[in-house]
Amino acid sequence: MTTLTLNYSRILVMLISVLTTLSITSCIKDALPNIEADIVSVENSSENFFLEPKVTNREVKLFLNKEIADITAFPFQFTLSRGATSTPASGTPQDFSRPVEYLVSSENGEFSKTYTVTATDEKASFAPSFFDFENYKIDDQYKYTTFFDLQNTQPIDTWDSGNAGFVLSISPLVKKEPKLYPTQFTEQAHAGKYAVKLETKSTGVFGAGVKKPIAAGNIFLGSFDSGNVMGDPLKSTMFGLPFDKKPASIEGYYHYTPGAKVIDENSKPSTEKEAGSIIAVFFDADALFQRTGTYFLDGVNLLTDKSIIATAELYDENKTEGDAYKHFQIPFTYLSEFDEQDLNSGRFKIAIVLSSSKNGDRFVGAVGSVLLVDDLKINTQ
Amino acid sequence: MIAKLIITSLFCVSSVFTYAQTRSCLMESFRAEKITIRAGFNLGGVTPTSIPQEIRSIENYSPILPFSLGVEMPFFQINEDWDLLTGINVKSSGMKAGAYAENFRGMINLENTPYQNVYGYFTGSVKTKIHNWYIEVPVTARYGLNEKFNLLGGLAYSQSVARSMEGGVQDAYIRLGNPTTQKLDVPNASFKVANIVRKFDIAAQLGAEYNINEILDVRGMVNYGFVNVLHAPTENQPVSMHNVFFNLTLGYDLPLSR
Repeated sequence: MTTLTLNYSRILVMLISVLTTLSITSCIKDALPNIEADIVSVENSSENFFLEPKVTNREVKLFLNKEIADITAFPFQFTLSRGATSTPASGTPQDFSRPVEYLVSSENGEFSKTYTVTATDEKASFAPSFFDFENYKIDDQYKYTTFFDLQNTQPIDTWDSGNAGFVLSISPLVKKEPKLYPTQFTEQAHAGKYAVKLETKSTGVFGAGVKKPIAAGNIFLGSFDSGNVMGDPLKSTMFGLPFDKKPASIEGYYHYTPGAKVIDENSKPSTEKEAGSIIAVFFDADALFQRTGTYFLDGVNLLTDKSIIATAELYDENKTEGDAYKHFQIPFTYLSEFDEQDLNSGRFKIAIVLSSSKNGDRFVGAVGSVLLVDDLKINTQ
Repeated sequence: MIAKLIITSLFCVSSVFTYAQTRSCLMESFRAEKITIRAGFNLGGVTPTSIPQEIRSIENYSPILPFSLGVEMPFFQINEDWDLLTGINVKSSGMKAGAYAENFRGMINLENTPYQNVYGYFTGSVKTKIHNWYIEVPVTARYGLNEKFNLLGGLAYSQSVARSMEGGVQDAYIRLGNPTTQKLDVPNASFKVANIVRKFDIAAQLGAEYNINEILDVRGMVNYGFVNVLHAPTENQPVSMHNVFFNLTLGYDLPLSR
C-alpha cells in the first residue's frame, strides 16, 4: 500500500507577520508586474470535453468530445496569470493530434514556463490491461521518475506515485536525482529495457519527528495530488482508472529484497514482518462517489470501502533468490455482484497499488526494501 | 600677568553668579500645579510605514480593546507659550486585520521537513491578531495657540507588559524557489508568535488639544513608533512594522495643593 511521507501539515510562515496592516485601503499601491506564468484554467465551454480538463504545473490534458471539437484545429482557450502572455495565444486553433507546447511568460518578463498541452478525442480512455513499464519521464526540476503508457502511440497517464511528495523529504541543498526517490526506473528488467523499482526510503529526522520515519516505494494506477503534499499523505493518493472488462486475475513478474531492519512509526525496531505487496482492486466508482463525493479510493480505504467488487492481493516476505524475476498470477476474489451491462459506461475502476513495504501506510517498514515489478497483466473474462 | 589673573578670577566669579541666577530661574520653572487624569481611545494598528506592493487588499480590520488611561503633569514652564508635560499611561494597542498578499517573497519554514528557511513566494489571505499592553512615559512639549487651543509634540518610551500575536492563513499557496514551481496548497497554517513582539517602543507623538473649560480638555495625538515591533530576522520579515495609533482622550484636571 502506498505510503507517502508528507507530514508537513502546517507551516509557519513568518513572513506572514508582515501582512498585518491597517485598514487604510488608500495605501494599497498598484500591483507589481506579476511574476507568475501559469495557465490557470481552461476557458472553452465544457461541452467540448467529455471529462474535465486537467491542468498541472507544466501540463494541460484535454479530453475532447469528437462530436463538437475538431482535434486537428481546436481553439484551446485558457486563462493566464494576471498580465502573463503565451505563444501560441489563447483561442488560436492548433492541431492537437500531437502534443502542442505553449510558452507562457510572466508580466514582468523575468519568468517563463513551457506547458505541454495534449488532447485526446478517444472517449474510451479505459485503462490498458497490460503494463510493460518501458515508458517513463524524469521531472525537469526535481528529477523524479513518472511512468506512463502508450495507447495508439499517444502517451496516457496511468501510473503515479508519492514521489512528488517525497520532494519535501529531501534537503533543498541536495542535488536531485532519480535514485533518491522511492519510485524509480531500473534497467534490471524482466523483458524490454526497463522495469519499475520501488525502494523504501528513510524520511530523515524531519519525517521521524512526526512519526513517519519511512516512505515505502509505491506506484499506483491513478494520480497523486501534488498540490496537497502538505495535507494528509494517505488522502493525496487517488487510486483507480476506468476499466471496461471484468478482471479475472492479475499476473506479472517481480523481484523482492526485504530490508534488514523493520522499524515502526516511532523509529523503534518492530517485530512485524516486512513484505512487498501487489494489490489490485476492482470497484464501483459511481457508488463510491455517491457516498463520498470522490471517484477514487485512497490510502485509507483501498481495501475496506463498500464500493469494492473484487480484490487480488499478493504479499511476499521472502527475498527472491538470484537475479531472475519471479512469475505470479493471482485470481480476483469477488466480494459482491455487479451489473456487467455497465462495463462500458466507465463507472467501474481498477486500482493497482504496488509497494515495497506492505505496512507503509502505517509508516512501518524496513529502509532498503526493494520491489522490482515488470510486465503486469490484468487477465479478463 | 597680575591683570590677567584678576580678569580671569572676575570672569570666574561672574560665571558662578550667572549660573546661580539661572539655576534659581530654572528651579522656579519647575512647577507642578496640577495633574491631569486622561482616559480615552487608542485606535490603530501595527503596520508597515508603507504597505508593500505585494499586499493587494485589506480584507478587514477591527480594533481590540482600544483604550488608554493615564495621569499627566505639566512640569516645566519654558515661557508664556511653551511648557513641558510628562506622565504615565497604560495603553492597550490591539487590532485584528486580514490582508490578501500576492507573491510575497520571504523565508518559509515547512514544519517537519528539511525545508527550513528556504526562500519562497506566498499568495493568500492572512489574518493577524495582535494585542499588546504598554506602560508609556511621554515627554511632551505644548504650545498654546490661544486660550482654547494647544499644539503638542513629543517623544514617548513604552514598555510592554503583555504581548500577544497570532493568526492564520486561508486560500493560500506557496511556491518554493522561483515563481514557476508547483503551487503547494497551504491547507491550515496558523501561527502564534508573541515572543517575537518587541518589549519596548520609542515613539514620536503629535497632536492638538482643546480646552473645553478650566478643568476639562479633549486631545488627539498621533503616535508613530520608531522601533520595529517584531524582532524576527529580516529574511523572515522583510518589512518593518510599527505601532501607528491615534489616541483620543479626555483630560480632567486636579489641582495640586502646595
